[in-house]
Amino acid sequence: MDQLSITRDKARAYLKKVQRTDGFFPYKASGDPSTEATAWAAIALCKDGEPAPVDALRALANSQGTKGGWATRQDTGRPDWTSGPATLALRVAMPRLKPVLASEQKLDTSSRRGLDYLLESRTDFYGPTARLLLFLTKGRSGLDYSRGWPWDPECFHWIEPTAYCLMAAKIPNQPKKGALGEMIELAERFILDHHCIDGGWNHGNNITLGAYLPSYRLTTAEALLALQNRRDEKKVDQAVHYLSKQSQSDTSAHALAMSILALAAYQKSHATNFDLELQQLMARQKDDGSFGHDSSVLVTALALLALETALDTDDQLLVMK
Amino acid sequence: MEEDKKNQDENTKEGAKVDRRDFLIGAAVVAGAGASAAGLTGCSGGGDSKITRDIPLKLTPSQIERKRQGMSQVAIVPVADYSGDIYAHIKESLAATKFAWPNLKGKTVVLKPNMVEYRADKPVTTNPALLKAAIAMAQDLGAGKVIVAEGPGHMRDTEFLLDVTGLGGACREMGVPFVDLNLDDIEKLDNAEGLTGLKHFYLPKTIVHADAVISVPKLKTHHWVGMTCSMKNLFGTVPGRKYGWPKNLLHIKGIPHSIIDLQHLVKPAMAIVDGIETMEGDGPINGTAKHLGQVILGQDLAAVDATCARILTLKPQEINYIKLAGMCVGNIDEGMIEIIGTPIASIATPYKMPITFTNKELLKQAAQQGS
Repeated sequence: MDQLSITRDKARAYLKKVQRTDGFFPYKASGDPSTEATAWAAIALCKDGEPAPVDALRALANSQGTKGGWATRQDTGRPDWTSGPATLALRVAMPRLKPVLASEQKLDTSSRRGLDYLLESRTDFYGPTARLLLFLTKGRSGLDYSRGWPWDPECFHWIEPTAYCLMAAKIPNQPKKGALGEMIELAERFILDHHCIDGGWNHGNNITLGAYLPSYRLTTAEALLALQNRRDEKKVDQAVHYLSKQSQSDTSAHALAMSILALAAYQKSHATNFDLELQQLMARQKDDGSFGHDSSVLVTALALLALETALDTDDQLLVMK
Repeated sequence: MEEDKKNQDENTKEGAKVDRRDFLIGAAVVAGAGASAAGLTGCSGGGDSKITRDIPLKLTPSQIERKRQGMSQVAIVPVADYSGDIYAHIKESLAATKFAWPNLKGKTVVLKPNMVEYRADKPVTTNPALLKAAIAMAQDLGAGKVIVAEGPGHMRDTEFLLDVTGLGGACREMGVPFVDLNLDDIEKLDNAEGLTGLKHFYLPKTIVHADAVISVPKLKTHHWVGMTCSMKNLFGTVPGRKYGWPKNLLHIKGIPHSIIDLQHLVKPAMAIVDGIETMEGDGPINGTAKHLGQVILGQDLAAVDATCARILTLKPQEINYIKLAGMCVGNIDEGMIEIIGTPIASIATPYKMPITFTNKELLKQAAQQGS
């Protein structure tokens, strides 16, 4: 067996080992349930069939809030940014598990409700008074300001939650026009508006108080995955270039995994630096099969997905159809 | 589940905000009222933000009761650079003084450095040598277990930060674990007496179950609040998995208010301030390095921060969160703080302040941008 397959199998085994009996995955072994870790692990394992990803999807569906969103863990308050990854997991993993889940209407419903939540939850951005002022002074176009999603419903919008929610809305298939399509366009514009001068994206603003702020490798990769249908945009092209330039830097398993996933989505998998990043990522695997600080379940799931890009070039889970 | 509505109401005393449908109805009802939208052009801002909200002038008796009683001690120890055994030097410097070290015997001690973000050429984070000194101190004082823990405020990539800042290497060298507070398991804590209006906070179990939390900040200017030191450093105890990167809700609810609530929830036992290479100007990220050459220690974090403000020639009463801390956390009046070691007057030096410190209009603009 080649090294890539061995690495992948070890990562897969680690994930299955740390899955909780209730179907959830924790952020680290023996931890409490994590919506985000469960979502990414379900995606990473969905080609395996049951029981691991099926149990994970059922756990997500069962922990969905009444408005269709998810909190970081059940019983931890109102829905938050993890609604993006959870919806993405249902949308991406369910079609792969159709033979097993065909009779489970609840998961289909859960996926749709997740999208509805993303649609309904995004306008806590300007308050009602501010939006009224925008409407009165600029007309309907005043309300078409670019906007994405916040980490917490009461807060500003940021690049990463916007990227996660955009991925959920667009992968595997972009929705038809309509409210969801309009939402996607505004969120794409939000990310593009915050493009940093050095080519990529950081967690928030590209400029603050007159100072240009630098990009982060991880955030740039996440944003690129969310903008993969906008590859004709100059800023997107610059971001791919920025990300490719980072390949010589073996920075972290988390950034490497996301970078590989993003470069694969932009068909850069033939590039030498892509192979280099794969080698760097594989070298970071720990003896127990995990990746990342403290044997992170989240990073291990992302690493497994990244390793899959080299094995199944025609069947990429995070590439828009 | 049925939890949603309850959770929404529980999260804030103000209750739920409107969603898309509510807004469309509301807009139709009030359209025509006539107003100006000047200033609402920020692309990521929240028009109803309370980032620049004023601090309360009056506190309830139960909030005031939380204030530390009696005099406070703050030690100021000259440490020229990050070489050598810093803890041994500090210990020797304070050996002949009345400085009271905290009782850490047998306790689980969590050291919380500042690892908010990384800039190769700027002193953004606590220096690893200072962290090692803090670990050595906790071990020397008999701690049963020492943990280093942080929830970086801007970057999700903790593995990267641990590597490039040298803080991960410091933990390995000293044989202590590092916990990423952003992804730790969380527990719900009551905050009914808090100033933010949040009825409760979710905090990491590592913090909740620690016997003693020690703040190990980097002394820097700060474009939102003037200065960041031991109390503001506790923002990093708030988990990103719940509040995000950055922990934006703490800004929205008022930075001074959030700082005070965290003092009362985390109950830090001590602060050891990295005041060796500090930051002035557009801190806490984009400022420039300034050598101060001091380590500042104390068990009353309000007193420590007030003392650091005085070293920067700032008046503690003019920094909102320190002023507020003086009302309900600890001592900030000079007369109530016993300085041990270097006299403030001998090292006090003006720092270049962020432009927002004097230009409040710019501060409001930046608040609109959510930076």
